[in-house]
Amino acid sequence: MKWIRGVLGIGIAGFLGTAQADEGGLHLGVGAGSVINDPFLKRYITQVTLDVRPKDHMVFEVVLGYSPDLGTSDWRPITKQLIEENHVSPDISKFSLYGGITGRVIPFWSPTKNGHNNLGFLWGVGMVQTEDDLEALQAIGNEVAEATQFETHLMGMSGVMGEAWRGGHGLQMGFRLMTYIETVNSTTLEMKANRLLTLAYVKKL
Amino acid sequence: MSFLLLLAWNGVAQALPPLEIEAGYIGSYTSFVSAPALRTGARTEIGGLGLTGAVIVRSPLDTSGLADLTHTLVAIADQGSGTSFQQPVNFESMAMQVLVDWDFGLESRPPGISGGMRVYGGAQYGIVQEYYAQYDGTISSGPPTDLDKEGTNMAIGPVVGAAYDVWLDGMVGLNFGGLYRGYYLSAPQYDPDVAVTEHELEAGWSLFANLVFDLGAM
Repeated sequence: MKWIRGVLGIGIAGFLGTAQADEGGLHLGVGAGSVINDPFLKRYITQVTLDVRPKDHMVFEVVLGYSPDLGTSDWRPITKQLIEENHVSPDISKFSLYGGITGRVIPFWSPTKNGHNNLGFLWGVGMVQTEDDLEALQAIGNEVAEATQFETHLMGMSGVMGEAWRGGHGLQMGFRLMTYIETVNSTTLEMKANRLLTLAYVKKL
Repeated sequence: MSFLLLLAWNGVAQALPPLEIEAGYIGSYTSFVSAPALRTGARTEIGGLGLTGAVIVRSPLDTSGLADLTHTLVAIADQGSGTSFQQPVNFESMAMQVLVDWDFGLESRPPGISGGMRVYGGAQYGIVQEYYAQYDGTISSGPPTDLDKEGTNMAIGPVVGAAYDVWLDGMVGLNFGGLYRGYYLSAPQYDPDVAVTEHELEAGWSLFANLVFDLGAM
């Protein structure tokens, strides 16, 4: 029966058990991370979250994040090579501010010496701001490119989140997929799927 | 007979430290190779920390094992002007990893479904083959990418990462996560006419997923 529950009921297993922890109430999280799947840019993020946990295995979260634009310091070596040596213009855009609302289900839980670990899955929606890198596009002063340089998009967010709790303090490791569609250089529609890896400190308020 | 075997197994399990064996998939640490690898290993616990030894094996590289990104870079660089272009491709054909992990003080797995996370740190030693991908307009089918082998290196590098564990019944589980890992290798050189003289750490995230068996629980 445990196997059947394991295979068929992974998503809802948490709801079948009894209360697993005493985490009710508001939690504030502060963290940092990076985008791990961009071959052209090195992107770092800071992130703040505020969540409420009506049940121990259910979390509703507001997330607000920011990724600073470091100019050409963001470029990886291959990007510099293509632009400066081979005079090719990759369609590069950078997201900056993003925010959203996510729901998380925590079906997996393990006790530790002074707390517990848990593992959950999250889904949500939000908005994200993007800026085309006109220097990489070699389109500074080009009105067509400038028309879509700054945009705001609807985005979807999904991912896996693990937490280690001791008392009212938690360490949170998250893997989020942030997807949206944007227009680059006024002519190219691009679907972005940024993988964000974040590490955060969370405190029960 | 089966009773005796069971008794013997129980005695061995009692005498040995906790042991888990794992096998699964791990991705490449670079964006330029898409060929997946088999990763298998064993993990035990010493003093509250986990110790994992793992081996990574990947089948030989041909152009089908290159990532779409590599083909795209080779193709679009040829459309530009200026210097000629080659894309360095470092291919990890085999590696050994030694990792220490911490599961935040997990005491014992509760019965039934459970899960949590752990963090890793360690090192890897691997056989890394150096290739260069270049544009070849004479190729009639498939991407116009030619792959030249430059040499083979034995290299060492760091590994850090995190993983999530999902145990279905205390004996069998899934372990999935990401390792930021790499090797100290020749610095990338995109101009075929310039010799490489420097070394640097080439590293990236590779995702992995394992099936884990706890031999002690069995």
